[in-house]
Amino acid sequence: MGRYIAKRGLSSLVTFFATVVLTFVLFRLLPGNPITLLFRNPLLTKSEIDTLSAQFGLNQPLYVQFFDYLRNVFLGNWGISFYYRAPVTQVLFPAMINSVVLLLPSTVLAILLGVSLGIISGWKRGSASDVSILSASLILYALPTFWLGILLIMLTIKTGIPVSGMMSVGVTFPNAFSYVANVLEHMILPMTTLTLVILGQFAIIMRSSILGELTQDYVVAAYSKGMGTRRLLLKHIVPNAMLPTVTIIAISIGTVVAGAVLTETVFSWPGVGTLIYDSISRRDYPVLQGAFLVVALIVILSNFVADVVYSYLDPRVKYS
Amino acid sequence: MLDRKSVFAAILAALLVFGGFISVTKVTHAQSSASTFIIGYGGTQFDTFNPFTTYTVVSTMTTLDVYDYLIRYNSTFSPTVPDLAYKWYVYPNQSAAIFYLVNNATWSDGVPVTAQDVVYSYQVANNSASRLEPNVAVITSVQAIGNYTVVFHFRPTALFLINTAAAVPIVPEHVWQKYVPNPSNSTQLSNYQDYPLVGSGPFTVTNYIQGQYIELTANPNYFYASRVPHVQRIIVQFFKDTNSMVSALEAGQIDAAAPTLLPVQAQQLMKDYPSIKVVAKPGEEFWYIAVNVYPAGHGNPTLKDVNVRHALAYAMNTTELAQVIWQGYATPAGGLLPIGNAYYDPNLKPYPFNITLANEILNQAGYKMGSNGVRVSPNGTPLSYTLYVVSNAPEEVQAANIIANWWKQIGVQANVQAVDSGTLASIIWPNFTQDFDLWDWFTSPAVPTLLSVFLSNQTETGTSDSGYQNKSYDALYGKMMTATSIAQVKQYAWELQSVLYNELPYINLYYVDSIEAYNSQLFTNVFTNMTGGAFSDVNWYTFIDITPVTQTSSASTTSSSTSSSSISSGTTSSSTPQPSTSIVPPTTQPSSALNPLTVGIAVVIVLVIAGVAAILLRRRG
Repeated sequence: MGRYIAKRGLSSLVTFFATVVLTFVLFRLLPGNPITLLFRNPLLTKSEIDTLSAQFGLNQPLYVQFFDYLRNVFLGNWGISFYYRAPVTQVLFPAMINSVVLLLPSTVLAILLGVSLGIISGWKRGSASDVSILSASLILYALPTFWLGILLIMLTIKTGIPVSGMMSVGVTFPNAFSYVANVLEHMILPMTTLTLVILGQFAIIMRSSILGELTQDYVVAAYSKGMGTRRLLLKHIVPNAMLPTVTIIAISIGTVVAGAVLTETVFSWPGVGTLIYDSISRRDYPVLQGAFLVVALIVILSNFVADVVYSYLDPRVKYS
Repeated sequence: MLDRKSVFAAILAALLVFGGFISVTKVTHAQSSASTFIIGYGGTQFDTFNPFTTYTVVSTMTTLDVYDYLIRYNSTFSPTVPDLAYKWYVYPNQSAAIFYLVNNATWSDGVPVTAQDVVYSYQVANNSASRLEPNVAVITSVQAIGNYTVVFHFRPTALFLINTAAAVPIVPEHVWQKYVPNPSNSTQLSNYQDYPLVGSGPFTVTNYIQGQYIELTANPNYFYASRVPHVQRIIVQFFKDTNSMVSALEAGQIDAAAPTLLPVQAQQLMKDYPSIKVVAKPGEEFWYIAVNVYPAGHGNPTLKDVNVRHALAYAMNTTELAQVIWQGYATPAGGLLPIGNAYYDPNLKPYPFNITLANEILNQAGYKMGSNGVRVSPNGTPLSYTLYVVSNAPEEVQAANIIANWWKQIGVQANVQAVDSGTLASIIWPNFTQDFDLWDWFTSPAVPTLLSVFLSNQTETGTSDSGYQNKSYDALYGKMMTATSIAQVKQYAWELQSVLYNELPYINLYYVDSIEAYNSQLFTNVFTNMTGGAFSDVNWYTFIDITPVTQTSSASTTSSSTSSSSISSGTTSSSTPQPSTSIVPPTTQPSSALNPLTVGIAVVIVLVIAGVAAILLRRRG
């Protein structure tokens, strides 16, 4: 077990280093540079351009910029955002936290609902409930996020449910409880949208892996020796059927820190998804590098955890 | 036999689809207090509070009444309104000015505002990282005499008051010195975010949450009693897109929406929400097609022939375009400076749409029609171009396609390509490989300095996207900037625009209106009678004037103090809020949010699911 974990850990580390290098290269491959872009100011002077290029190190050769970047990544000095003229950590982390606040509960809820529906659907294959769940899952999975979001806004606009933002502005909250309640209220629509849109994939995957398990000999054996349905399903089938789902869950949890661009846009949620999107069009390399590093780190970590969980659920993977 | 669990599961699944559609909980909406005015802002996002390094409209708009200036301009952009300077004098040779400061202005931390702060601010403005450097470049010296008098010496120009004195915000030296001890150090200035912010204006910044909002609170001790705000707080809330912002306005979460809404949003608001007033005013934005005329550029060489450019301009119906793309919320463009600009030339009319004339021009210039319907130049280059357009403006991509169709009728082929602005910038600068780019400018309505984009030396700095080179144009621009009377400045500005109109480095499309909306049932005295509308980076009146409806009786306007104590020459245009020519919404009943389309879709989905469930249940039963 220890050896397996060490092996997986090492490969995670290699993946991370590869990401660090790629992150730098990828954004430099984008055409255009932040200076000509940021400053479409009719009165821009040559000295201003030179000053800004020098300040952001853009006048250095690419390899010098790369080594500076490598050194700074590991010193925790992630630079100054070209756009906000503020330290990257100060720009990035609040947005990331906002995204996690919205995405983590949505993802967890979607996983719980999706997996449960998948179990019901798979167990009752061919029944009306199976068909309903399957078609509902497919429809939800195929729904464009922004369309569902706009629809929800249209339907609730007169009800008083907040349609945008993360909290009411211009309101003083008497205590922490009312603040949290206010944020929760603002979460209703975006969370509903996200949960509905992502639960479909969990239901579909869980259903097919349950179906796969149902044809196994051990199920037939357990059934014929008279094991109760509930016990058979929950103790024997579900743990085995969870294996593929664990991977999806790991990836979903990992991308929680990357935000959800469409949902954030429709509901003006101040998350990191739109920050990343905007930073790409602004060519704000420091913010992009920081964001991708954090996202890569979390995805790699959660995959590492998934591998470990996997080996616990299915000891065979350790030996392969 | 009906399986009860299957029925239950079917209902559950159906509910899941509609769970979100049906709002189960009725949540009480946190009503903002009447003395808080919330503006939604859906434009380019906020960058920094530092007024010298910001490049965003929202930053300038927010701090317009947080910092004071030496003087202010009125609603027609005459620099005649006193601010920190209660009187001033410009010497007749237009190369020196003296400003007398009020002695009762204080910073929000209680320290008095003095002439030293003014000198420091102008030194910072001259920093190479400052966006205001071009505004102060004319200054040769600035010095404080005592605590309340400042003397400027500058190279002769009639634009000193409007382009320099009314353009530089005065910042507190005692605070800034900790971060920018050397006013000319560009790194210090670039890295200073200016938050928490100390200002001397009628509002102070009391909160800022990145990506969410900025809160301004009225300064009850503001030194101009007549400019003390009528609302307690102004909040600028950021939105990711204008649709989301309009929804928030409809839901009553915010009181106003800026900057420019789309025409369809304006029409929807006018139709369904009688409490919301939509105001359309000449804006600061205009759209154009830049033609690559750079002698050293690598675009299609036929575009360097002015005949081709003329033909292209005649083969374009800008009136129809403004109607189709902006549904009338845009004015077809003649000259370069938009209709709301103080130096707009009304004599330059848009090129008339005349396909026959365009064809004739090309025939006479020797461009023969090829067998494939594309003309060929005398030396064999086909008139086949790429028309780049910025992809973040979908309606302009549509405009580009319409234009390409018109051009086809004169044997010109244009392939429309939508690219993001970063990519477009890399195509244009520094090598000028493009043929055309369809792009926009936001320009200050107070000054004619957008004309500098066509100076020969602007090509390498990345503001000229046409690569226009014309020595006599450069000389004329120099004359405009050094003219010693505003009338002369105007004359030169018109001449310059006329040169561009005839030479066509830009084919101008239209000036877009600024369409904004606010809740007129809750707030009044929103000052809209200015280019850019009520909420812009130039309208400093709105925040001060805006009044909750319940307080209307006590409302006064900023105009009372206007220039009464000024000894400067020049008359003052009234800054009194006048009834704007806004579109009054028809008083229809607000329609339900459940519009037929939504209901239709919902019903179809319900029927499909119910049908599937029924069939299956029957088969099993």
